[in-house]
Formats: sequence, structure tokens, C-alpha cells
Amino acid sequence: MSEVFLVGLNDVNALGINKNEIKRYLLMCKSDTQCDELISWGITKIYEASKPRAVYFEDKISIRNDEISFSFDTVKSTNLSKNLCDCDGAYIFCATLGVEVDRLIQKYAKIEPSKSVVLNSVASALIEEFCDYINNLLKEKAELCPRFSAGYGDFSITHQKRILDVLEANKKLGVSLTESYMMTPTKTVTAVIGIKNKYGEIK
Amino acid sequence: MNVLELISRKYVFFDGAMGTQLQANGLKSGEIPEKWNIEKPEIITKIHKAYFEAGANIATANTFGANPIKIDNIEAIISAAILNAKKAITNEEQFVALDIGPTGKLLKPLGELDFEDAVSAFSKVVKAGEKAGADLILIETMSDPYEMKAAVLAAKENSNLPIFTTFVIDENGKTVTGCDIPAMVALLEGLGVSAIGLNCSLGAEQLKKFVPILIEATSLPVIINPNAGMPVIIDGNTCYKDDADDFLKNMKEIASTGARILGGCCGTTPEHIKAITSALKDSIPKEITVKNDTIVSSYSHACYFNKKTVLIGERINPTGKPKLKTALRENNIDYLIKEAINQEEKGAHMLDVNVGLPEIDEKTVLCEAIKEIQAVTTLPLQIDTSDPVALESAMRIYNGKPLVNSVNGKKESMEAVFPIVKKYGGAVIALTLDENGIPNSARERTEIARRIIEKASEYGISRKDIIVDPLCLTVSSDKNAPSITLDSIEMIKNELEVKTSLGISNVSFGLPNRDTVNSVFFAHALQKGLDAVIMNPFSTSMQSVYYAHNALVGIDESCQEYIAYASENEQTATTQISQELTLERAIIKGLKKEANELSKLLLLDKNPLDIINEHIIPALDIVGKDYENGKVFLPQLLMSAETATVAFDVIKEKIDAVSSSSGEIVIATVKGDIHDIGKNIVKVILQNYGFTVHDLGKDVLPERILECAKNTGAKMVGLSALMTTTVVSMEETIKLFKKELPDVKIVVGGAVLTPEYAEMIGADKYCKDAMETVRYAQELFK
Repeated sequence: MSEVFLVGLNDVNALGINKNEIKRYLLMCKSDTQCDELISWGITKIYEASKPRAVYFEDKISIRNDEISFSFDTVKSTNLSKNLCDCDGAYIFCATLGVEVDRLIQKYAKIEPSKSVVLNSVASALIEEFCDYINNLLKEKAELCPRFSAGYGDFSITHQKRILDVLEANKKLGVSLTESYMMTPTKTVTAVIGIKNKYGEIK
Repeated sequence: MNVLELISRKYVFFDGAMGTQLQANGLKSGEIPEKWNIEKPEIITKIHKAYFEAGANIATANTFGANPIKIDNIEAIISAAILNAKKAITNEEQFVALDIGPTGKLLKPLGELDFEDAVSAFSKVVKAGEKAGADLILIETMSDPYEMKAAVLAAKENSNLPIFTTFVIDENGKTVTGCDIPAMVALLEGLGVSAIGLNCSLGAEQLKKFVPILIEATSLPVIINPNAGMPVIIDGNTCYKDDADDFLKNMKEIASTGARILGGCCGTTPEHIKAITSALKDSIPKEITVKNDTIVSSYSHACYFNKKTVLIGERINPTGKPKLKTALRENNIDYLIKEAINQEEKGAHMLDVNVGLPEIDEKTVLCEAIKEIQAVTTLPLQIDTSDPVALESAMRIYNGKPLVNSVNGKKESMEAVFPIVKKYGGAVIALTLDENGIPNSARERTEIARRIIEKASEYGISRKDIIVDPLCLTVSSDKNAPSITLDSIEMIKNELEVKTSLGISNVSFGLPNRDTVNSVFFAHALQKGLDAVIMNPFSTSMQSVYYAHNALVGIDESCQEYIAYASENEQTATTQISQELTLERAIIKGLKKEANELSKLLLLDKNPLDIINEHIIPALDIVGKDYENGKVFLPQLLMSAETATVAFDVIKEKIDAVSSSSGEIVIATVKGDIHDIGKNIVKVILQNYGFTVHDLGKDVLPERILECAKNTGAKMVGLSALMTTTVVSMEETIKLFKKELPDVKIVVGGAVLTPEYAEMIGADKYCKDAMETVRYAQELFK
């Protein structure tokens, strides 16, 4: 196992935001001036509250009969095996916007739920942006597969625990797991990103 | 020799990393390091020995993760760990610390771990550590002040050992939960720990700029245990690991700024420790200076009582506020939350929280109010109660160092309040009255204040934590009352060197246009150096006096704050309403201010019930249908609902019971689930359609939902769950209802649910969104 890297982003504005994605989360099929204004307000607020942080490391993997062996865990999953086809390495990562975002969403849930809903959607879009940002950093080094998270398809969500443990995500990012395998802060993503033929072991 | 004596004389050194050494000795990824205390004790002792030989004074026992929330069998593990470390001791300047790390869970309300559960988990660790013979307790790597408080309380309640505390900050100088250094210091000094410091997260190079901030804030010895730098990428720049030479260079600088307890965290080795002990062992550390600032804190920041007067919002106090009284009787905590947020937006620096009403259980309601308010405001709170039992419970669960309102010169009051203030760490407002009442001269009030301060010091409470309120009586009944108060402020500040506070509004009782009288009196008090005021943040004249005063006495640089205040005030002066705008239109468009004005206008010549039936309900129906037809979207549906609530509130002021409830409904996000956005939406919309909604929040036990349904007689229960892992709790809740209250209809919703899934788990109805829930409820209650 290689060392765990910490990615901090002091300037959140380095991240773009996809307004269409926000609208998709809000189930908006077309534009609307009033909602657009709310979304712009929400973007400002979420950018202020976000503290994007991530940790990742590079792991060596092997796959046999839908069973993927990582250095820290073994996963039985057809979907993940397919996703990791032709890979002998993988980045394991966890990214979060931090707990202030949750606090902001909770606060508006109490006073103006309309804004709370918008903030929630903006934050969901922003964490995806941040994951893409890290993806792009890693892409410069190797050919990668799309990221795949515990809970997708038959990749059981219970693997979340080993992923967070091996990344020391609690100590480094303040991310923890509830008994029902939900992560706090809520705007947190973990994923496996396959690296194609990293060690030359794929013939 | 004990460790505190040693620290008072010279530099004291912690050891370095345990994990790195264990890995070097063969610990595998995923293996629990604490188990080696029992399985491989000789390796653990060997590591401690190496650190002692490198010059460390304190061996951190291998108990970082030995917490009942993380692993089993902690008593045996801790006992072995302490013994392993003790075996390595060779001289009397070597000590063993029981190491306590975080639980790995986020505390409620943002996470799932209850504060008291955290205290009880840490208590088990402390008991085992003290029994095994630890010399001190090190609570380390904490990033949440609330969890830190739980651990320190557990240590205080279960041992007499010195408590050392270190926390983790990022490159912005705050913990991941948003707590800055002065706030953490205020909390920990209040709780009475022996040393405060920083560890982990950053290397010594990145950490060193924050050390002066910590030294500046605290009167305690400072601990710095950095990482040997880890490979981090910050804004695209990669920083690499420090060797012993790099580490030493930075640690010497850190020592020179005044830190006197030094060691290492992740990645540091006996070589790193050896480097610093060799270089510093014969040097004399800088003297620690005692800080005399009066400070309280919230989860995020400290509030200093110096220079600018602290504005304490008075709105959360039922005295003379019928709406708040009703809210408290109905346990409507959301009303209190709104008051808190509105006062924060109006520029209050702190908030008073008083829920005292004869007919409510003050302890329970005060604690719930504090928990909920501290989750949504960054402001420190003033806990305002005359009930010592309620005070103790509230101080315990408060996330920070609170201000207590109040103690007075009566023996009974001091004996009740001071032990609690000492234990939980707070500042306290001291009222200048005693068994003989409120004296009629500044001299006598000053003497009462002096006695209170002396009594406080017997309990170990410093005068910086006493804020004297010389009381202010009504000018209409005694023309000299205001001048006695003003003279008292001056005399108390000069003679006793303490801070002062005043509840202003009493002065104008019984007079017309009270705001003017209050404001002028406030100006006089400011002139005397008043340090804090309990006031209404919505009073424009009070605010104007405050900002103008600061500008005039030269504590508002370039009058910037005054200018900002004045221009914002101008903008929000009036709401212009165009002729064509109707209440219906305002609701449909989500225009709250306009809806407020229009409702008042309509009330001039219309019956309240007619306004609801002819204007508000039809508007809601239009928005509801537009939403169902995809013409408007969720944010607009909710904005209209919020606007209708504004209109309802205006109308409710005219008649007590506007209309009888359309029906009682209980809603909750099920046990184990912490996502409640969907449930909140359903709540707002149901309320709009006249239903009485009992919202139990998130992560709610089935038994609690059942109990609420029984107590309220609700015919319908709405349950929400986000993930398949929590639909299990939903099913459990439904089973309980089918057994105990089979006639209650259970409606379910949430991301993973489908009509089929809902049927499978025994629900009566699946609703895809809030409007469908309303339609179902209307049908059910018809």
C-alpha cells in the first residue's frame, strides 16, 4: 500500500458548478427565473460553507471470479469487477465538503425549507464537482476507469467501513460512519477508481 | 515528583508515534493495534523504552482506539497497555499517559452519537486507566469541541489525574467542525484541564504559525505534538515528510514562542524525539503569562468582553411575550430557533435563552432548546434560569463555554450556582442583590459585588469569569434609580476590575415610547464603560446608539461598521407594494414581506376566516396543482407554503383559534437515518393545509413514534427513510404499529421506496411527494 495523500482546496472557487445538475436534483425540467435566483443564492452560500478535503491512496488489486482483492479488503461484486476490467491498480478515495455544509442545510430546514432544498441540491452537485476535480488530478498520471462507490449495484455498502478505516478518513477528514452505513458529514463520497494496467500485470 | 511540577520547571517531552513503530514491527493493515498490548506486550514495552531512551518524559500508552464504541474488552487492553508502558520507566521524571482518542463518530445533532453516550464510553476508558495506574490522561486528536467536552467531563468525573488535551486543526487554523483556537481554549480552561495543545494533522512546519495564537489565548502550558509532515497536496503543491533535522528546526522555533511540552504524532520516531530532547533539555522555557480576558464561546468562536460592548439578544424569554409562551407550551422549538436566527442576523453577539414558565418542565425544555439552538447559530449562549437543576443539565450539554444568568449575593444562590459553574466552566452574571434586597446606593451594590467575587474565588472561580449586573430599576417609580445604576457601573469597574452587564429595558417600565428611554439610558451606560447589554436586537434606536457610540469613541475604525449598519438599515426601511398585487398573487409568487402587509390590510375590513378561505387556501390550491402539473417546482411550492405561513401568522394574532385542525399527524425519519430533507418538506406542506404535524425529527426509535401517536391520538403517521439499510427500521416501526395501534394509517416515502416495496413492508400508503401526502391525508380525514 502506498502512502495516503491529503488533498485540500483552499480556494473553493477553483471548482465550477453545473447548474443543470442542480436543477436535475430539484426535479426541474425547465428554467424558471425565480428558481434560478434561488439557485444562485444557494451557490454563494454553499461555496462559503464548504471546506473540500479528500484523501486517497493507490492500491494494487487482483480480480478472480468477480472477487476483487485489495490490500485492505476483499470484495465480491460482479458490477465492480466489470468496472475494474483490465485494471491491476486502483485509487481508493474519500472526499467531503465538511460539516459546515450540513449545519447550513439544517439551519434553513428550520426557517426556510425552500432554501434548504436548494442548498442540499447545490451541495450534492458541488461534491460531485470536487470528485471530478480529484479524478482529473489522478487522470494525469494513468488511464482510469469511471469511479465506483460502495452501494452501487452489488458492491455492498458494508465495505464503506474498511474504505474509511484504511484512509483514516475520520482522523484526516472528520468523516464517520453511522450504524446504517451513512456517512457524516452527509456530503461525502468514497469511491474506487480503477487504474488500467498499472503494473503491467494485465496481458 | 509529579508531571505538573516537572512542567512548571522545564521543557517536558512527549514520545512520538506508536502506529509507525508497530507497523515497523509487523502490524498489518486492518489489525487492531491495541490488541498487541495483550498479544505482544514485549514489543509495546520495547517501543516505550526506545522513546524514554530518546529523552521523552511521557509515554503515551497504546490505548488511542481503546474505546467501547470501537472495540471490545477494553478494560483488559487498557490495563495491559498501562502496565507495558510502566515497565519501560527507569527514572522519576518518566510518566505514563492514558491515551484517549476520538470515538470515530460524529455527535448529535449532525451525527448519531448522543452526548451522554459519548461521556459514558469515555468514562469506561478513564476508570480502567486510573485503576491500572496511569499518571495522567491525554485526550488527543479531537476535532469536535463537543466530543472533547464529553471526554474531559468523563475524565473529571472518574479520576483526579491531570488532564492534558490536544486537538487537530487544518491549514486555516480551525478544526474540521469549524472551531477556532480561542474557542477551544475557552472551553477547556473553563473545564479546568491542566494543559492544552495541538497534535496531528499538520507537520511542524505548517503548525508553527498557529502556536503563537494558542499561546496568546491560554494561561496553561502548551503542548505541541505535530506529525513528521505527511505527503499532502494542497492546492496542487505537494509537501513531503520531515526527517529529524527538519523536525528539530521547526520544533525549536515552536519552543521559542512558548510551548513547553513537546513531542510528535504520526510518522515521528525515536530519532525525531531524540533530536528535540538533545537540543532543548538544558534550556529554560519561556514564562507562561496569565490572561485576564473575560471570554465565553460557542462551538465555533470565542466572544471577548473587551473594547466593544457585547450585545446579548433578549428575545428568547417568555416574560411579556405571549407568542413565545404559546410556543413553549406547545413544545414548538422551531419558534425559538427562528428567534435565534433572526437575532443573529440583526447583529446580536450572544443570545439569552430563558424558557421558564410555571407549567413546563424547565430542565427538559431548556436542554432541548439549547441543543437545537446551538445547532443552528454560531453565537455563544447565555443560559438564563433560576433553577439550579435545569442550569446544571443545560451547562452540561452546551457546546462551548456559556454565560450563566445569574447568581446573586444571597448565600443560597451562590452555594447553588458556583459549584455548577466551576464544574462545567462558564462565566456568570452576578446581580447586586442579597437577602436584604436591592440596596439603594452604588456603594452598597459594589459591596455586594465584592462579596460575590470573594465567594466565587473560594470555589476557584476567577474574577474574570464574573460579570456584574448592578441592576436597573424603573425611573417612573424612582427618579434616582438610573443614576444609582450608572454610578454603580463606574464604581464596580474601578474598584473591582470586573466586567459589567445590564438588562436595560426595566428602566422604562410603565412609560410610553419605551424604546427612546431605553436607548438614551443605554448611551449613558456605554459612557460609563458598560461591557455587555441584554437588549432587543430589533430595536433600531438601541442599535443606532450602539454603532454611533463605537464610532464616536474611536473603536470603529474609519466608522466602517457604523456606515455599513446605517446603509443596511436604510435599505430595509419599507416594503413598497404595488396596487395590483393581491394576497393570492403574493403567496403564489412567494413574496413574504408583501404577504405580511397585505394580510394586515385585508384584516382591516375582512373576517379572518374569510381571508383564509377566500384568499390563502385558493392560492395554495393553485400552487399545488401547478406543482403537480410540472408548471412550478419544489422550491416554489415551498416558498408559497412559507409565504402562506406568514399570512396565517398575521391572521392568528387577531383570533386565537383561527380554525380547528384538519387532523393530527405524526411524522419522523426512522431510526438510523439522518437525512430529513424530504420529511421536512412534507411537514411544511401538511401544516399549510391545516394539519397539526408532530415532527419527531430524524433517527427516531419506533417506540417513540408509537408513544407520540398514542399521546396525540393521531390517525396518520408519516415515515421517511433514505436508504435500504434504514428501510429495515421503517418495517420494524410499521410492525410495532400494526400490533399496538392497527387503526393508524402509515404513509411512507423516501428515495429507495416504491409502491411495491412499501406494500412489502406493510405500509398503508406510499406517497411519491408532499402533495400526494396532502391528498391522501385530506381523503383520510374527510
